[in-house]
Amino acid sequence: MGGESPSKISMSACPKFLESKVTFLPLLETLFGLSLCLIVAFQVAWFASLPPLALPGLSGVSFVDLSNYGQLALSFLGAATAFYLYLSPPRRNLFLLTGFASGLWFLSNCYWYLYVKIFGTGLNYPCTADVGFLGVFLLLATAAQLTFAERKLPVFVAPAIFGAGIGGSLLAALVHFTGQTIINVLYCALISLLLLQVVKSYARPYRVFFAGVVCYCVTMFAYLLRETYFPGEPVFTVVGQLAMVTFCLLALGLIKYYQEGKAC
Amino acid sequence: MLIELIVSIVIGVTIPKLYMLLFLRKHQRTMMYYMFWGFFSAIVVYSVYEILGGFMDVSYREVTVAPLLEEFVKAFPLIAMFIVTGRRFEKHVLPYALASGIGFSILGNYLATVNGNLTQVHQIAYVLLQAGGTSLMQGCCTALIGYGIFLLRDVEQKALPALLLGLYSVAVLLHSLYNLLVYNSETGKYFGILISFCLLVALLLLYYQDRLPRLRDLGSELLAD
Repeated sequence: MGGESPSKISMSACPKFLESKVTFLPLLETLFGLSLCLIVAFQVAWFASLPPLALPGLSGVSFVDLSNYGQLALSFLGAATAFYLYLSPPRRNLFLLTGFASGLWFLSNCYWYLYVKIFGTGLNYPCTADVGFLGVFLLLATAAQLTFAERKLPVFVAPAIFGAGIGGSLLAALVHFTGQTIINVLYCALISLLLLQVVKSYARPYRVFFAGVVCYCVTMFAYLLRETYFPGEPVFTVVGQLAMVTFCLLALGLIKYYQEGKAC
Repeated sequence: MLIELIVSIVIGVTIPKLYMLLFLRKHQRTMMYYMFWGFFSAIVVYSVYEILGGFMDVSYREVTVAPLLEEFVKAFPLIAMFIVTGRRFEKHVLPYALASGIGFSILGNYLATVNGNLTQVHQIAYVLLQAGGTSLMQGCCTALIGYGIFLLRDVEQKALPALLLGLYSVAVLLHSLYNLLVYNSETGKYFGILISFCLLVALLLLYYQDRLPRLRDLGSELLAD
């Protein structure tokens, strides 16, 4: 597939549980697929009955807890799935890098959520958690670049994407020069980079994986908008659900890629 | 002045170890060099803290700035050698990185002992926490970067920048998590120390994984006898 060659990391023999004919993959597919449907259904219901919150008996605080538990669980499971697939030969960079990305996001969100629980208030944006969130962009972009063949794009595409992303954020930073608007430029640059990589590498058979990558870009764009311009705005609670959808799509995409590889 | 105190401690700790170097073999000597780097990195880091002291409060520094700066400075020689010279490390890089982190934390422990205005009992308890928990975490976070660099030796060149940044981010986040738990929450303290010990066990298993089947066989032989 594309320009990707199997990773040559030499480790000890493949663990026995991976050699077993009983595979966890259908179970994982069902789990992620079901989670995806539930999250989408919940979010549609939530939007439909704005305000008040769709689920009776849930206070705003409980919603934050529920959303973060879901994000932590799905990002952890996503990382575990990716590393599980990576350990089965031939070892693909896509699984290693995506697993790393999911694990990194899991750690960042752990930190973010623990801060809220300990101090009772959100982190100042930007913060240490953003190091992890930003790292995910590079890992996913590298994963796509190494795995899928790149198409030649018209000359104007890259400048258009970067121009829209960086230009807009730079303008906002010049109008209102703060630490937040500066870090937004970095976020927008990385979002543009990842979107460009998606455009270059898109392969229809793996559209679920690419949908997950695009969903991550949308999630982090909504996150930076919420932190900078709309703190406390109820509609931006969708960030949590978008994050969960991201990891479901990424995991499902990886499983499909693995199954196609096995079929070959 | 804090910097004079740190430099004095570094000199006091380093010179006796220089005499030891004469009797050490190659790998042991290399580990000592990394420990010296750990001592030196403490000078760099605490100098920066002195400069920043007036601009930010201690809590923000502990949770946000310290992990970013400390993990970068401690792992700097490894990352620099990996990127600039293209050197590919064997598994021994894990204890080298651990030595760098431990060296840094030894300085931190000295400072905590000297600077703290605590009663005798509280002093001992505080230093036990520092030495048993914080030092371990400092060493393990750097060791994690080291082991990651070992795993990357056969990975495609194009993937290296992203993976190196990812490794650094993981170390920073674990360090931040520890500081957040230990310095800001009573119950969180125990979770923080637990995380450090889990990290130690994981690193030990990774480092000695090739010996595990032999240990299992040895166990079977002993039982058979």
